[in-house]
Amino acid sequence: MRKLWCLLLGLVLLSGCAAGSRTTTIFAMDTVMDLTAYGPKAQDALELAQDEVDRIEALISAQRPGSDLYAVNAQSDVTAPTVVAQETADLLARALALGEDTAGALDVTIYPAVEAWGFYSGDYQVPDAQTLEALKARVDFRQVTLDGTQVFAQGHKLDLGAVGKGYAADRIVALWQGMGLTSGLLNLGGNVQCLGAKPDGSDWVIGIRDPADEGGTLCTVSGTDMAVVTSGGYQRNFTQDGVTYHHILDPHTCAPADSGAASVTVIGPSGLTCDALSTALFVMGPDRAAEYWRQHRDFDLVYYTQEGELWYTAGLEGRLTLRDGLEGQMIP
Amino acid sequence: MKERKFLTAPEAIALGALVLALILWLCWPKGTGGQAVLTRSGEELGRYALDTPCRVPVRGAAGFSLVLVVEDGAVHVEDSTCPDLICQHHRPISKMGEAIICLPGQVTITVEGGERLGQDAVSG
Repeated sequence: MRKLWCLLLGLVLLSGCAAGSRTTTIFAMDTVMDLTAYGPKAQDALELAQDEVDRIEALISAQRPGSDLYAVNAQSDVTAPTVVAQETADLLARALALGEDTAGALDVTIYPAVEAWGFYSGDYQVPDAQTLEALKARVDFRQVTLDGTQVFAQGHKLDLGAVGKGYAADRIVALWQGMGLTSGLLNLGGNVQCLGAKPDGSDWVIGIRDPADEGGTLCTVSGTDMAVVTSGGYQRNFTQDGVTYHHILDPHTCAPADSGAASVTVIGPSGLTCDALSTALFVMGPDRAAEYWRQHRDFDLVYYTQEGELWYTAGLEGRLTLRDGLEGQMIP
Repeated sequence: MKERKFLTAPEAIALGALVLALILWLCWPKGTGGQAVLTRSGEELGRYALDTPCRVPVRGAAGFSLVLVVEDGAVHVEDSTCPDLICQHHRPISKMGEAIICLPGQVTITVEGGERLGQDAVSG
């Protein structure tokens, strides 16, 4: 009889634990983040994640006094280096390498252009042609060099916003794995990252937003242990004199990228890489983005053009479900 | 020697109650009766059943305000004073997991319960 009681009690307790998940919402990095962790350590995992987001933001925010990037941007002696944390130097090195690899479509020295358009302050304005020409001379990541933890920015102002959320997601996933978590879901302002599979062992199903329909989706992508990061002109923009200007600036023109892209979604194992590439491939436009993918093939891509064409890569075959009525074509 | 019954009366009643509780827990229609969960700066402010129409004025962060409106089984935002009005332009939501976010006001409205969305999260 006692065994029967123990069995019943065990069943009750187990059924409660199996369903154990915790979710939290954080406002950080100028966006809203939803974090869900599964398992008995879920609450501890969320608290660790929040601390990690706060720590990274304090380290690399270009806007926050006291951060490494703020110090670099405030350096008055253009020939002098600024000493930063090893972590900041490592992250900057990765961002500079991605800048080189994307032929400058990603450029960490974009700060003065973002500032001139008012995307930091919300005080939006359209710079005149003369201002844009002057800005171009101030945007060139190749002028920034690193020597250990010394950053030689040579008067250039840095912004790691194109990789910050992706890096934070990678860090949280690594911390959760270190705690023994096998299932979790992060949504850092549209940067989605999945740890493992869903608690029942099935694939995560991630929607990709329809640029023309707030709340609607173009398609879903399924998988495990993946980052799904989208860049789109709809995410932040303003309208002046009937023209809408979005926040994804082309470093070569210092103006909103007019590449033919409506949104670009990059799917891969690294949140940082997906974050950086979603911006860079948006700037490149569909043809150059397809060529970049052919040369690398270590990530997947959903490219939605302003004409309403949807292109995807071969690795998504069987994992991509298009909305009713929408047709997609595989990138050759 | 007195023969031990398999179950005494109190044990039988307790076991019956436990089994009944288990059956109820397993069979309870989870996911029905969706509700809108309102938060500001991560703190929950209220929950509103989607089958009960209401209008809830919300004071967000940084002085921004909006009105949460539940009607026709869905929730949407009206009269937002934030600069980009993304929250106000969001279509009404009613499925579990859908969300409307006002970033300037740090206000989120998410749906819990009800019909499940066909996806776990949305990128974009």
